[in-house]
Amino acid sequence: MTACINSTCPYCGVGCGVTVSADTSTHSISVQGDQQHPANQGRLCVKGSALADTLGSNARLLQPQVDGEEVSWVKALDSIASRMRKTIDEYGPDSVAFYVSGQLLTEDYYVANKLMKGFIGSANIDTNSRLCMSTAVAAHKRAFGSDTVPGCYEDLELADLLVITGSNMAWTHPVVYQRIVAAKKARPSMRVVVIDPRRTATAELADLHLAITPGSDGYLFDGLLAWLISQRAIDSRYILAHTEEYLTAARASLARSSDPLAVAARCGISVDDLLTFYRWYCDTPRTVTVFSQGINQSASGVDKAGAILNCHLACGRIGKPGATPFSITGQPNAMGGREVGGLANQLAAHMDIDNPQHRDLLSRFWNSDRIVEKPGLKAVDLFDAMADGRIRFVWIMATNPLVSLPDANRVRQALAACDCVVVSDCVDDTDTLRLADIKLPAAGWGEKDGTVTNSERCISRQRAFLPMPGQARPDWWAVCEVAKRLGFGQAFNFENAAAIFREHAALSAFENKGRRDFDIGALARLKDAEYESLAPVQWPVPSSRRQGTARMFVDGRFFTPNGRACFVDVTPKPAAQRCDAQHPFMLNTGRIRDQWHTMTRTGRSARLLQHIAEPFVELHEADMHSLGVSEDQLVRVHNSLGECVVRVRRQDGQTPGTAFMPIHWNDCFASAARVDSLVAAVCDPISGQPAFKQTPVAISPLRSDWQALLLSRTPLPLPKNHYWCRREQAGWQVLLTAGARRPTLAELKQLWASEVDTWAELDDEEGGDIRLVGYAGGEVRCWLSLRLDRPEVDESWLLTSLADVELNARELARGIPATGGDRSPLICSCHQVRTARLQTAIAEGHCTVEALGACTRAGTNCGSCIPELKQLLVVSAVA
Amino acid sequence: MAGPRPRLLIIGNGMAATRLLDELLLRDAGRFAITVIGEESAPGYNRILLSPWLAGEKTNEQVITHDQAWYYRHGIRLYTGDPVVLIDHEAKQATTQSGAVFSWDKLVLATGSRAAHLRLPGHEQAGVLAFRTLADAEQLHAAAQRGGAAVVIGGGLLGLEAAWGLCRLGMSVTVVHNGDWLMNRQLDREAGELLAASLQARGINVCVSANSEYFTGDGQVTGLMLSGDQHIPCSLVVMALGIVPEVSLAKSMGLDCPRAIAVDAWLRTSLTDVFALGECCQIDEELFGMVAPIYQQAKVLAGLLCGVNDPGYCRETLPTRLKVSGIDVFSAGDLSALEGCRTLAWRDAQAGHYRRLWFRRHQLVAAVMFGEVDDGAAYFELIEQGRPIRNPAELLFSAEAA
Repeated sequence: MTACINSTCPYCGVGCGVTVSADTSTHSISVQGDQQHPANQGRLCVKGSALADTLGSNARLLQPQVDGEEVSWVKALDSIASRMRKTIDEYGPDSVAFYVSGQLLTEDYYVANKLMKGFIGSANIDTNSRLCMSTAVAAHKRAFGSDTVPGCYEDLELADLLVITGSNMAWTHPVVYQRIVAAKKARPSMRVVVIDPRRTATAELADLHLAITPGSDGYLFDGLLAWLISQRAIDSRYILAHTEEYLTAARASLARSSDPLAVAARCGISVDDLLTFYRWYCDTPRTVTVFSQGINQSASGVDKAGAILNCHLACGRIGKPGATPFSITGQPNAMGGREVGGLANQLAAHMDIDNPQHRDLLSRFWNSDRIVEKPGLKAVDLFDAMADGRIRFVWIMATNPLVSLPDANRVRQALAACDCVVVSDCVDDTDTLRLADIKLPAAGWGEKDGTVTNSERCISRQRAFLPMPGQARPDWWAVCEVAKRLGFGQAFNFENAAAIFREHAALSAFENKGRRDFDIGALARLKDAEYESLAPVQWPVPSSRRQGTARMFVDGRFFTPNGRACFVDVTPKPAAQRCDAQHPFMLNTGRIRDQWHTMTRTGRSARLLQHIAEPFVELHEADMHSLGVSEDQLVRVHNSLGECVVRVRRQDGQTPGTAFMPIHWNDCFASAARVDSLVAAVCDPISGQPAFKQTPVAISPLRSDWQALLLSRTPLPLPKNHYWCRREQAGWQVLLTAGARRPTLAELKQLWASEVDTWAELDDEEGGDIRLVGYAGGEVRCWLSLRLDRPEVDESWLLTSLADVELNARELARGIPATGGDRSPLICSCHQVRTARLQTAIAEGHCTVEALGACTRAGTNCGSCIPELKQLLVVSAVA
Repeated sequence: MAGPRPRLLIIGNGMAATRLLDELLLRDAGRFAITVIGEESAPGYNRILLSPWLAGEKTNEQVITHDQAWYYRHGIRLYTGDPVVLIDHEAKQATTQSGAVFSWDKLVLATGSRAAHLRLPGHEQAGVLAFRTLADAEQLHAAAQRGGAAVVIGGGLLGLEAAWGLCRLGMSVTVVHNGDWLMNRQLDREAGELLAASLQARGINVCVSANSEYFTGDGQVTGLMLSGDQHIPCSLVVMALGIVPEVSLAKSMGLDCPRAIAVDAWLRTSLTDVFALGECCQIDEELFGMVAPIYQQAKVLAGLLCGVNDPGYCRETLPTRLKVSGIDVFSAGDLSALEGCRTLAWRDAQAGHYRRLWFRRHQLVAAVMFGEVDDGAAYFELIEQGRPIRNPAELLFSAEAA
């Protein structure tokens, strides 16, 4: 019997629909793309395809804990309420805080925000969306009077010119990227410009790639506005009818940025390339500018986004099919969080704290006289306030700030200083959980039930299809239970997620009358069953338009008091920090293709760790040469804030003088790879979003006398080392480690003696090679290869072979099958196709992505690896 | 054909002689009138198979390679059980113990070797035997039928084989070895100790670093006294201490015999028309105990006698691959010259496998394997070729990796 249920992927902001098939006889679950969902129409990326790997009760937090002891929910909730009340009584409402997440469902988010801003009376609730979207929010509000994403994904397909800036969509939003790839293939006249200091996988699609100086985007778009004006490419009629403050912005821009030579020099690109981009922009009414973290995560990000919006407003390219600016969000429910007012400077339903009418409205709707009157502390400030004692109680839900916030080591001190730290999470170990006084087991994806909103304002249901393991409960339930204990029972008496959603929808429509962008009044009276079967719909969904709304501002009317969009006089700035002799490299950070955030979920999927298994720093070959480091060598990446130890990857898409590190690895997965421990807490003054993309660092080679790969059934103690990186795969702990003084064979056997009764060993003290296979009761318990260099094994063969009784220890110890396995890098995670196999296929004459796909199946499922396939084809053609 | 055929006289009927006959017949069956004189009463047999014969793993038929009928069929005169005692080189005549006189035109000495004997007090007693000939083996077999305890002196290949044979025949066996570990010329200490442990597991006692002092008994041996006053009671002692080339006839002819009969690469002695091959000869400094080089000598000598211009004998080192009481052991290379070598080993306690390789300047120079020897041939080849080895550990895991 196979039962199917539609839900939404919990990863990026694309918000793909998934169809989950649960085979009740085999208890196996498979996840496919939902053919009907408007965001993905059946497509799914490699992370989404691997969702089933991340399920299960293994390594889950299953029981509440207070001060290290497992307790009942009643006890845990009582403790939270009493500690919260005591803190408020003693230090006032602003001494407590919530730090929540774009991973929460809208319903969880709604009650958390309601409790803080409506009843506790503090706006000290902020969210990890601060690190991701708050710049776009601020820019939208300045220009449109509301936090409105004007367009939809279809606009990206309809555009004749697609400008992608500050986004490696091919890896971060693979399904939208694949839609663009398909659109460009169907309509080759469509032009794509990618603006990114790195030549990323996304740049493979570009007709023009502008590898600008890191952080110089503001100059580029300010110069574009000046160029548009000088070329008379602006839409004067639109400007006159629908905008204000044009002249101020235009004059300033012309004064600053009308010399393309100067702009090109600022941006570090050729004036030819600059003008090509400007001319294309001039000539293409159907232009879409997609922007993401490269713009948002900047100390002047709001102005950068403002410069982008200015250009679109000046040409009237907004609210039209194929013509819009488009902020693409990082998280599955960043938008939902914005809708409920999850940011410290917002009220619910896109209302503003500093607007007395909004406060009054909310006071009446919630029937509370404790509505906040001033904004709370934004993420970075919030943790600073914990460090200095202004905040003494924090409840963190569904996020891992010890990894994701800048100056992450200071965050550790802040949490350590805070009297009471409550952490709700679905897994049993994260860097943040290790500092929790109270741990609450949260329901995870597949268990929780509610709604999310994706980047194109599409509200979709995330549905439960699994029972909650152990004592796990939804976050909304925990928040409401605490609210009841604090005496706010009446306002938090929700029987289910649907009831919360109805209130949320009702609030959006309450005294709205078209004055506020966010109105989903048509959904305010959904019966439970209707909520259960709610189809994806793009807001606004006012009572008058139940089918939802694909595009906003179609009529040129905005949500400013006078209905006009507002040009902003932006101030382009370079990166906030400069490199110097001690810190000669500009470090960029970002996602990789197969991981998500801090790996709490994707780190559980073996196949997602095959593409890239270790934390790394990418460098240009020229820099590797001057540093005297080779590929795969360990290096220290460091500055005054912290230090990471990672492997070098050669990346010729990297501009010399720049470096790139992934954001994912943390103390649960590696010895020192929290890249945010290097990033200074320099924030945009308006949005409070930190500048994660430009950090000056030094890079020093780290000499290892030994490197080892250890596979074990259970975590084992390690010999003294200066690097380790772990993952779990097929029931094995897979650990890479390296160090200075080489441990001896005898020391290693001693270290693991309790796990093993019989050893098989390679003894090569002189050559530095050690291999160990440890058996207990005739079964392999651990496997080690220790050498001067990184051990070379066919890991997938090894992991399946360790349990193979046909193979003797010597064959296992060798680490590769007798016939010689394929150890080349994995390209296609879905079909497990490696470089060597692809090179063979190319040599056989399969010279297109399609032909390679037909021959090897690579790239035929999620398509995330197609850019890499193209690269391989190019490299092979050159060779 | 003009005139009578030249007479070829072969003294000795061991494996060197029988192989020489095979090679001659192959080339020119009618060229010589051949006479073979053997000291032993048995016709041609395979000495290597005596150990499995003793252990009951081989039958008489399997051991005898050239019976009387074979000699008859090929027109070869065979005299057994009547050793040559006198040679008159001038007259080109040999006289046997019984007084028979044989003339030759060409003479081949294939007198082989004798078991080394430990002449300790009491060694002449009954029950103190060697293990060299079929007759020795028959005697051991007979003695073993009476049961009791046996001591084998010598923990080399022959001794261990004898020990295993006697053990299979139901005797309680102790191997006494004066080296620090068993087979110390072919194995490193670790392999030798593994071998001792597995023999002990099969019921054979092993005493290493043992100095034999004297035999106890009153005409019939009753035990062996070791230094340190350790007495091992037994009713049978087998000396398995190696071999001594049999060169007394050669010396009497005035042939040069530094350790054995000196011959050149074509097996020619210093006297015209006198040749020597097998365990009784030496080429330069090299002595012979293994069958393969001796077979090569037979080939070279047969060619020479038949007037074929073959290249001479060419030295080849050989691996030792053997099965001791069902335990596979392999050894290649000169283990006495490993000073300064890089060495690495693989041990698998569960499977009872061990192997060790030695490298000098990136070349494999020696290999020892225990318990699992499939890669032996490949290691041997690499040692011979001296091919540079990039990854020693890989080679240890699998010879095909090279």
